[in-house]
Amino acid sequence: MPFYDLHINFDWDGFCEEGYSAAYIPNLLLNSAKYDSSKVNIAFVGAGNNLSGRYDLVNFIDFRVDVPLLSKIRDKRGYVEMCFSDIRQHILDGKLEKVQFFSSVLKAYKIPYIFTSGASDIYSIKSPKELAFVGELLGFNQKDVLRSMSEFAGVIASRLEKSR
Amino acid sequence: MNLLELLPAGWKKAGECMVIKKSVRIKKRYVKFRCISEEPLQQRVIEANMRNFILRCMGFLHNPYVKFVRYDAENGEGVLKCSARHFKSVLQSLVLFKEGKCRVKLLSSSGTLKKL
Repeated sequence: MPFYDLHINFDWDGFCEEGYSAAYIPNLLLNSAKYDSSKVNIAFVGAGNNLSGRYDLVNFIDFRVDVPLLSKIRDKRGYVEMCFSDIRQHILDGKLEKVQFFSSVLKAYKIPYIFTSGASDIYSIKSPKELAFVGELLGFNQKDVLRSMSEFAGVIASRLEKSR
Repeated sequence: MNLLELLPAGWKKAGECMVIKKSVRIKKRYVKFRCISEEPLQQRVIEANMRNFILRCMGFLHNPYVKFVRYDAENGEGVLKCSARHFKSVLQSLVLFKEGKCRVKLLSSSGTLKKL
């Protein structure tokens, strides 16, 4: 089963060793940045940012629950990004319950999600199995987390390969 | 008075030595990991850092007993032992572990050292 990491912040050549078929540096849609069809586009919601225009993934800053917006993302066949670096920071700040509540809302409303590492260096990289452990901590099934990094991320990865 | 009657429940006599019943024994899990860091780290340094981090993650009430069985400082590979009851929590804590330029990569886990 191929796995994809759709959010890394540095040039990483050794992704095969960690079990990934590909890893992508995204285009962050902040400060009126435009959609780039050759990259993974991540839109941010919260802290003054609103969702508008095209996007591939949506990152909820601070894991703030907005049910109408989540339903809109599901209807438009978008994906919610569960970034490991954000999750880790929230857990170490004592906000695990907030992230768990956000995860329970995603499960209850059947909103598709994709786990990413959000790594900035080689020491922040996580393999798919390790991300599945973290997903289990938040209330997801390990199989569903792995499926999100394989099947759902594969949809975006195949679009990027076609556009190249 | 029969001394055997004074022993706590769960003990039985096997020849000359007393052994704990299998149903009462603490079941262990062994986790093989690799420590990826800029410079090779000594066992006592990485063991102390990992123990402190696991304590920070799990708190005093649920802090499991974690022991390094073996560790090779040159390639960073090691095996640690923990109880099966806290196995998942220990693995989740190790995934969250990151100290500066050091990362713990989980390789495999098993109930016996032979299978690792």
